Amino acid sequence: MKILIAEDDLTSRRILTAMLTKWGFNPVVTADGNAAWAELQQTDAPKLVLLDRNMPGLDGLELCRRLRKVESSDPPYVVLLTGLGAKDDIVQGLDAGANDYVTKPYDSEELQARIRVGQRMLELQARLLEARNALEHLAMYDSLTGLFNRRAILERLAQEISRAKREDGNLSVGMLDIDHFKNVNDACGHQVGDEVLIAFTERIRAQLRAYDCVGRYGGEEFLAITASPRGRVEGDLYERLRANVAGPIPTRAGPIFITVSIGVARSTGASTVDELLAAADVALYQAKAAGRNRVVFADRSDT
Amino acid sequence: VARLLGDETLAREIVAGFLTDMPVQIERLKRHVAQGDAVAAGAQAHSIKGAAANVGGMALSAAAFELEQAGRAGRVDAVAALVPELDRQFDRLKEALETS
Repeated sequence: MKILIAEDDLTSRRILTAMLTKWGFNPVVTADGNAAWAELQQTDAPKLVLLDRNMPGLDGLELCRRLRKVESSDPPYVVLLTGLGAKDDIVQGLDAGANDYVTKPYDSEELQARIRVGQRMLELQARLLEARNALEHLAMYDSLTGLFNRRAILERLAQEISRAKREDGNLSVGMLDIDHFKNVNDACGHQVGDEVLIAFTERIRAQLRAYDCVGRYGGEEFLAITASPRGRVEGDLYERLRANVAGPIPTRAGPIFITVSIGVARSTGASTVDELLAAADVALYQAKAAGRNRVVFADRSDT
Repeated sequence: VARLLGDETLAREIVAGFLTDMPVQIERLKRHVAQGDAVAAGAQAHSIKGAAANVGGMALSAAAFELEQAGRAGRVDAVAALVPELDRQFDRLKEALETS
């Protein structure tokens, strides 16, 4: 494990370096606050810092304050090194953002114990971060299909709308609904229904481009957001989606033939999330009413 | 130092480093005193205090501590008056370290 030392006094620096090396750590040694700060900006920087209170240039207190100003979910653990009986230094140091302190002359056992505390805290921090990332993933993705869930795809839609306005690009939303999906669940059971949903997802994904995205909007309803750079349209993407879905899906109950109806709405400069969704919904309803397995565009009466 | 590290050779290296580095620090402190900069002298004394304590030079460390306090209080005369004691304690420590 790397530990950063920031200490201007040669003797203290050498003793610290020798002790850390002996204990199996990998000391990164700096002689002033600016060098320590530069070291902490590196990728894979040390997470544990032994910081002298008094240094020329950027001193320990100022470095602490600077470190705490940085928004980070994984900040370094700072142990302040101070002179014996310097109570004011200790109070100031802890208030500036140090996690702990050790007084000089160093007591080998105490310093080792305090480093162990730091290691424990950093481990805890890493696990907390991991759990948060896992929760974030759970909160964003649909567990069955791995697609964005309803909340995430709607958030994305709001972002894409403002982006399209900013960049004057084209944006379409497609509401996709598997035709007669209820019959699959009723006749073959929900597990087969799930297999169909997963296979459907794969077929959709295969047709989408890197800058399109799709989410599970409801049970068998999916929302696709397709953006294209200025001056280009998504062409017959939705028609390809529809055609690619049609075809037997192998399931434990034998091959199941499904089709999809799609309602598409194109964004105009002033569209809101609600307006786009409502327009796509109306188009989807029209596709269903016209016999299903088709694409209807909200702003075109000829399809 | 040897007790701290449990390594005689390394301890000698560190002490040797201390003995070369300390006169430079004391020189720097005297320069601040000559320039009448009590605060800078106090900060320098703070470093000397820590370095001395780390090699077990508690008397030198104590002398540096007094100087640090006088410096922080901005009392140039008091700082200047304490410098000879700092010199004396360093010489004593140097002798002790070199003969050990």
